Amino acid sequence: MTPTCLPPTTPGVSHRARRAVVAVLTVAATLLATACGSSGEGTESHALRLLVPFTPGVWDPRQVSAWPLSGLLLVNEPLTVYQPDGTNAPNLAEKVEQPSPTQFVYTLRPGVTFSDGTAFTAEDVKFSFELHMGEDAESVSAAYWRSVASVDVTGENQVTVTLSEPDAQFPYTVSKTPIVSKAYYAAHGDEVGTSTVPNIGTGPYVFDAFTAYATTTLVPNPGYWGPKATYDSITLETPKDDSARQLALQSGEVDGIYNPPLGQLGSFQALPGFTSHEGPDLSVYRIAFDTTKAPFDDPAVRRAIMHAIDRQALVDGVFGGNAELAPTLVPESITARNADAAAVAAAYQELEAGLTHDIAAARDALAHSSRPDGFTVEVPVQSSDPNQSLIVQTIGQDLAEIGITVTVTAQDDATFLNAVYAEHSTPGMVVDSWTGSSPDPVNMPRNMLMPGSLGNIAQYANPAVTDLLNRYQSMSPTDPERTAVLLQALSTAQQDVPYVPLLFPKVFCFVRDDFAVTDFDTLWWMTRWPEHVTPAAP
Amino acid sequence: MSPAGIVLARRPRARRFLAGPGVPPGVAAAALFLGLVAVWVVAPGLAPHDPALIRPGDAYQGPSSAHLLGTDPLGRDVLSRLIDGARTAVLAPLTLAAGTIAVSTTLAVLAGYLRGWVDAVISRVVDVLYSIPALMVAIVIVGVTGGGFGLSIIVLLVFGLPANVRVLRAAVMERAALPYVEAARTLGVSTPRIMLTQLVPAIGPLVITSFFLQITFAIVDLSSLSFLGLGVPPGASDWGRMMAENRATMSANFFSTAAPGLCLAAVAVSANVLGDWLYTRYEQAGRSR
Amino acid sequence: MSTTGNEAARDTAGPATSDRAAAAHRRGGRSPALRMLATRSVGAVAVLLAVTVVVFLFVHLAPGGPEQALAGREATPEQLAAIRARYGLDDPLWQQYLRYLGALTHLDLGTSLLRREPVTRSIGQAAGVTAPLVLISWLLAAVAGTALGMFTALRAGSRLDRVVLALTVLAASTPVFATGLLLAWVFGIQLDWLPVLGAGRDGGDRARYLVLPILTTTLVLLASSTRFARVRIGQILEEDQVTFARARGLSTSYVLVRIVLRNAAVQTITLSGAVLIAMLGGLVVVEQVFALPGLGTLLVTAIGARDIPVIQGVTLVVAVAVVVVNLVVDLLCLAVDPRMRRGLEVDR
Repeated sequence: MTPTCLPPTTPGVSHRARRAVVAVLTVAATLLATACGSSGEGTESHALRLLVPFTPGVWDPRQVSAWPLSGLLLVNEPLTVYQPDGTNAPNLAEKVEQPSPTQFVYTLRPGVTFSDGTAFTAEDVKFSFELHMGEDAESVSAAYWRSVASVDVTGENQVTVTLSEPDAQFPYTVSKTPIVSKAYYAAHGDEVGTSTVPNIGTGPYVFDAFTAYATTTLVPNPGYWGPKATYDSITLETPKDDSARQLALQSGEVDGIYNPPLGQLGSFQALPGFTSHEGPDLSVYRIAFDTTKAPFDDPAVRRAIMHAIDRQALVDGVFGGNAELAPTLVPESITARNADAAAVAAAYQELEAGLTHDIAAARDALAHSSRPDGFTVEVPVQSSDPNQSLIVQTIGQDLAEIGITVTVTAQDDATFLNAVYAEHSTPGMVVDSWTGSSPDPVNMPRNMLMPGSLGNIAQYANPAVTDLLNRYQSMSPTDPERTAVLLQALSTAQQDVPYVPLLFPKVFCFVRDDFAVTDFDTLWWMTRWPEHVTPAAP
Repeated sequence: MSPAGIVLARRPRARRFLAGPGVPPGVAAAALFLGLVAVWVVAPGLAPHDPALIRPGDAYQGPSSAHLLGTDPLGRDVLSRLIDGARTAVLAPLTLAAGTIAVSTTLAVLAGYLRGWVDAVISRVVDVLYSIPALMVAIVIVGVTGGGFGLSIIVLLVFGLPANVRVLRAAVMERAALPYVEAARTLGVSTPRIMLTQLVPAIGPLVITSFFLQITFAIVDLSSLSFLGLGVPPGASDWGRMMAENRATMSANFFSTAAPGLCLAAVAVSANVLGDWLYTRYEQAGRSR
Repeated sequence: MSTTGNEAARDTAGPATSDRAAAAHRRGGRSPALRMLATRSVGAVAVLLAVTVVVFLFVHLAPGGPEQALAGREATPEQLAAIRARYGLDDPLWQQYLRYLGALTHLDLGTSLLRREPVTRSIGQAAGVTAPLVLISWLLAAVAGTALGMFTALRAGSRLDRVVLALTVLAASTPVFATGLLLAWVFGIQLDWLPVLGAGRDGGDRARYLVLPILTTTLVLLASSTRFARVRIGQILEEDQVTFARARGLSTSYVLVRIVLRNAAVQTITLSGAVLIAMLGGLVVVEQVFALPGLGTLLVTAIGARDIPVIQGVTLVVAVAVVVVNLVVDLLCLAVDPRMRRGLEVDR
């Protein structure tokens, strides 16, 4: 790197001149780069660029669930498509019949092809379903296929699914299962879904470009059997960082952001030219006790903690009002759908009445517990969710009043997930947020209250509750008694205080004013959402 | 004529920076600021409010008469946290710098005076460490083990050794060749005594200036780790942590991020300026080249 | 990025190899250059091996594993166990290490557990972003730094010298993410000249996206390279040889190029090598600020998800790069300084 490696200077050329040349070259290079085009100029009028919270490492149905399905389901479309009103509309399956509580028959649409020209057949459906089935299936959605006994091709365009037990969630599971090409997987194996071997499907879009964990671009599928795609290109990007998110929105490089982190809402709301839409999110923040570990195995201790904390202060302070108090583990609007709203409301009010902020009651409970003099507990938080840390610090201050000292440690995701969900090796108290991934109200309670489920951090096992939840599963979705069974399960569990439900955060999207957004809610990713975000008339 | 003047055949300049007898104003300012921070470290009780008091209702407020620098996302007073945070924000780099210098000096004296296989081993190890990127190793180790603050300090200390050991070793070797050390050896003074009483004081000024410069590096490295989320536990009023936690809400209260950032930069700059000034003094006083 | 010019300028310790080389020469052995190369190569292999062992241990002993990311939160304990069995994660550590070493001998870095593609491909794509960033910033900083340093050394004590000094101190003390955010704000938002997020596609588009990150990194590095050049050149200007050269009537440019720069070369090269290596840590932060899918982001994501093959692959590649840089630095110094070729002790 010695300057003598540069071309020899002619004698007499002073050093000052050489320095000037270097400076000019640098400036010229910079200007040249900027002259090649500035950012933020108007793109073609039918492109949509969005910020999303997460881009997967590979576009394979076994590794994609929840929000990222918003991308995959546009390419690998499902047999039925979830609608904003809660129903599942026919899509690749022209007709869906349920001859018995444990049997579903799908009649497939004829004449459909994958984006590489090969025909779509019933074998592809069987293959796509079986990706998630089996004891050792390496799929994040395997839990939803556990109730399925077999998938059979029962006709040229017919697939029959037989369940081992009734499953209220199954119709929704089908709506969020992408259909892939069996032949394509046979040809490319585990590489399907990477940037060099994009996944192919029958849907309105195809993958154009992809960088793992960073950005994805979709373009229309020219051979699509259905209505023409709304956009000429859809780009989904995941920024790493709060400032990057802010900069992208402000610079005009993106048209909007879905599911922004709640802590940044204030900065987004201050941006001119954006409209926000909100809805209750299908997730709950809760305090989870490990009921097999002292001192949290003592119900009096758990009750004391429950009474000591001020949940409303969390809603107002930490979440700035962008959340609702959670009387139980699943939001009211989800439970009340297709049920007697008044009865549900009454039940929720009763549940909330049991979660009072009452320091005297807290002290009293602690005094009669196994630890009347208080204790110290170390609470781990996930460094990727800043809300957890804020919540723990705030309730720590509340708990200090009754003699319980809370210390906080930050852990990286893998360490936290392993300690909290897999090995149950924490001191016994954590705050986490659990997200549901299916519209049926039983989804979250099952994950949190059934023994053997990873979401059951409390290691709670109450035969009465397990019975009620299983009974719910066996009842038909149209049975009016079904909701009452669920409510009973929830209130029975709440008596034992394995968890203290804190709040349901709201979910938001911010989109530029030149787009119109309809039907935005927490399950937007399961719907054909590009049809709900349309360029407003110019 | 100044050397530069010799080359360019120029007229001599009127006054050289850092050459005069008085203390330049920049250095005085640096010393003053460091003094203020020292006061904060020793007496955190100067804070107007309780730095840990969470009041969710007061969150995200701008500066006011009650809260001179506004409040943070949990309603805590930023100024109080700034004062309280001086302790960890300053003590951590100080500990790191002091530790690095102490270990470097020991190794340098041993290598520079004893020579032989001791020197060979130490120099080899230092060479290897010199060639590994410190911050990247810190990120890998601290990220994977989820280890806390202590671990990051240890890692940064180990990787801060090479540069210092090299410089100090050269200085020790220079001193060890001087006649008075030879004389002490002839008189039968024991080796440890020579090292402690002759060599260490001889390189003293160099050690002190290295210490000040090391503080700057420590601040920059530790704040980078904090930015990536690997540092003090959440809730602690540490300047680096405050910056990382309040970054998202800069539009609500700019000072909650800017104030700790400015303080960090100011301490780093002050230490650097002071160290440079001391070094130039030392250089002018003792160089025999 | 924690070296400043002042410190490296005082770095006058010769490495042990120089002493050994001198001894070898006196014994009438082979050329000191070849001997040094041989020692370095053996040392390099040893270092690389040590790096693989250390990283392997850390990654496997860390709590958690890739099964959490692969199976999701709704998995059963049986699923987690099945995944661990499938990738042999419960085998004894020495067995897993030997498997890894065996694959390495075929230059096979394995397949990413979460991206499903060969690790070499992930690294290649990430390097396509990081390599231009590193090399261009480094080159710009080195050239501009030497030029600025010489400029201010010749005007020592002037106002310009003091201003540049103050700016370098400020730049060296400001964390790189603050500089990056400031530049992104000014150029990306206020002036709207440049994009602030992502890496664009290949070629010309990529160049646009890299301008701001390169600018940020160069500014931070400029602090140390200018400082160092300033001090080192200042030292050389004070030496007798400069006075004599001038007294003999040699021109300014001859003195500056043939005497000053040449004498500064060895330490400049050494410092550049050290700076390049120190840069690698700060890169992670720059990539984070500008959302660049480079090597730093690759490493951090892999650590978070416990994607073991990627973690091991990236650290190995970085270690190799470091070793290569050191080797190149040593070779360049040998080429530039005839004293080193003869094994004499030289200030490095």
